[in-house]
This record gives sequence, C-alpha cells and structure tokens, in this order.
Amino acid sequence: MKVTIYHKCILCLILFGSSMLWAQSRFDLEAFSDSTKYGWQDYRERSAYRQDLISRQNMLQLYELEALSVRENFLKSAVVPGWGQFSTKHNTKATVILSLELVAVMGSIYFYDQAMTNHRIYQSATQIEDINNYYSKAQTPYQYSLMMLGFGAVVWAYNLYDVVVSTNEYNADLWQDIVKRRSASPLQVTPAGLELRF
Amino acid sequence: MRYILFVLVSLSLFACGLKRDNPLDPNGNNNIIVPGDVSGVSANAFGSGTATRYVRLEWIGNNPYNTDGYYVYRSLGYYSAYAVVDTLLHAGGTAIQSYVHSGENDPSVTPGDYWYRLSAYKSYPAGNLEGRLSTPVFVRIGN
Repeated sequence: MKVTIYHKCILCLILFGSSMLWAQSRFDLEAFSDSTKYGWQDYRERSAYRQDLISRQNMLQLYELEALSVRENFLKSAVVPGWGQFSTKHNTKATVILSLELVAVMGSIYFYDQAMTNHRIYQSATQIEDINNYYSKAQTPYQYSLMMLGFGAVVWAYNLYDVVVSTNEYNADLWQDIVKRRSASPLQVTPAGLELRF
Repeated sequence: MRYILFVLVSLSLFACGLKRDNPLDPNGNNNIIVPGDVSGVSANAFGSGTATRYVRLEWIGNNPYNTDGYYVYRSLGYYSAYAVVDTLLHAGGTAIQSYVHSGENDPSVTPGDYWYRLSAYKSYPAGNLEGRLSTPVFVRIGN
C-alpha cells in the first residue's frame, strides 16, 4: 500500500487528538482547586488577604495620582529654573537655584548694557585717546557680562540635572509616605473617596 | 556633562572681545595712520592796550605724512574743559608751525588768563582722526 500525503495528515491528526485527550486526563483538578496552596487555612485568611490586596491597589492608585512626571518637571525647570524643585518640595534648593539664576541673568544684562553704552561712544569717537579709552571701557563689562551668562548657563544646566534626580527621589519617597499615612490615620483618602476605618 | 563643557568652551571663545568696528580705529583698520603728537608748543600775547589783541601760537610742525591739519583748543583753566577755537589745514603739503588767534576774527580774545592746547588730525573718508592733545600752555592777555 502506498502512503500518500493524505494518509500522513490523517495520522498526524489522530496523534494530536490522542495527546490532547491524554493531557486532559492528566490535569490535576484537585490541586487546581486547592485554596490552601496560597497559605490560606480558611476563608477568613483569604478575606484578609483580599482586603490587603485591595488596600495595596488603592495605595498604588494614590501613588499614581500623586507621583510627579519627570518630563513635566524637567520642562518646568527649563522654563523657570527651580520650578521643578519647588514641585518636589525641595524649597531651599529651588530658592537657591532661582536666586542664582536671577543674579546671573540680571548681572549679565547690567554689564551688557554698560558695555554697549561705552561701545556706542567708541563707535562715534574720532579722537585716538577716546577710541582706545572707550573700547577698554566697553570690553571689560562685556567680558563680565559673558562670564555671568556662562555662570547662568551652568546653573541652568545643573538645575535640569538636579530636577531629574529630585523628581526620582520624590517619587521614591512618596510610596513610603503613602504607606505611613495609611497606617497612621483611621480616616483614609482613597481614589474612590474618603474611607473611615474602625 | 559634555554639553556643559561645550557651552563653557563656546562662551570662552566668544568672550574674546567686542568688534573693533570704528572705521577710524587703527587697531581695527591697518590703513589708518595715527596723527603724530604736537610738541614744542608756545603761546605769546600781543596787542595789550590796543583794540586788537591776539595770541600767537608756535610749535614744531608734524610730518604731512601723518598730519593733515591741527585743532586749536582754549580753556579758562588748566583742568577745565577745552573748546576748539579753530581748525587749521595743511595747504599743499606744507607743514604749519604757527597760528594767530586774533581779536579781529574772534571777539572772545579779550584780556584774561587762558590755556591753549593743540592736536593734529588726519583726514579719512569716515572723518578726521584726531591725535593726542598737547600739554596746555598758559598765556595772559593784558588790558
């Protein structure tokens, strides 16, 4: 008898069906339905476990509500240095960064203005001593202005680096804080509303 | 960190200085010749007691290569503000070495104490570049 592809397919189908039947007969239904495998001895323990799970889920939802976005804080600090640090409650650091940035920018503007005033006089000067004198008078504040601008750029760059670190720290501490708050007070704020525990 | 370093290096390079864009600045334009200093200035008053008083200024004439003319300044005090009383021009490349500040042309030439200074200038399309002012010289015009 010649074995054709058709016969081979039929044989494979029979083998597959047999293996499925064998697998079903080997499935341990008792083990599957045994509730003690999770360590629960009775329904009370199961209920307590369930309560704990629900509680953790609530805390997770709270965490997601209160956690700060790194990207959002980064943008905040890019626009106004220290803003992101204010959001993460690092108020002293935020105040120092904002103050330094303001001093750097205002100083830079002040010296630049002084430099440009002297530079305009230099441009219209026709006397050799005035030309040399006003160029020097313009050059010095111009360099101060650039130094202040450079300082401002360094503070701004540090502020961007710091806001990422601060936000990550804030989010890491937030979970501990939520756990502490939850265990401390009988009145809980949950995503679903207020919850009073007796 | 690499970005911060890039910004700092860029700023340092940019901090080289302001542009020397005054067309009369010899440090920004190699074609500009700085006028020579005026030296040997002396002043003498004449015509006291007459209607026409005048002051004769003399100095060592500069080389026409670096001087096209002179500004004559006068003040009432050594450290006071000096005002230009006249502008002199080298004619035909001949160096000027004297000037008469006369009451005929300037009614402000009256009895009193005055200080005179001179400076040379060189003419360029952008204007006259003026050299350093000479040391002030004193003159008293009598009544």
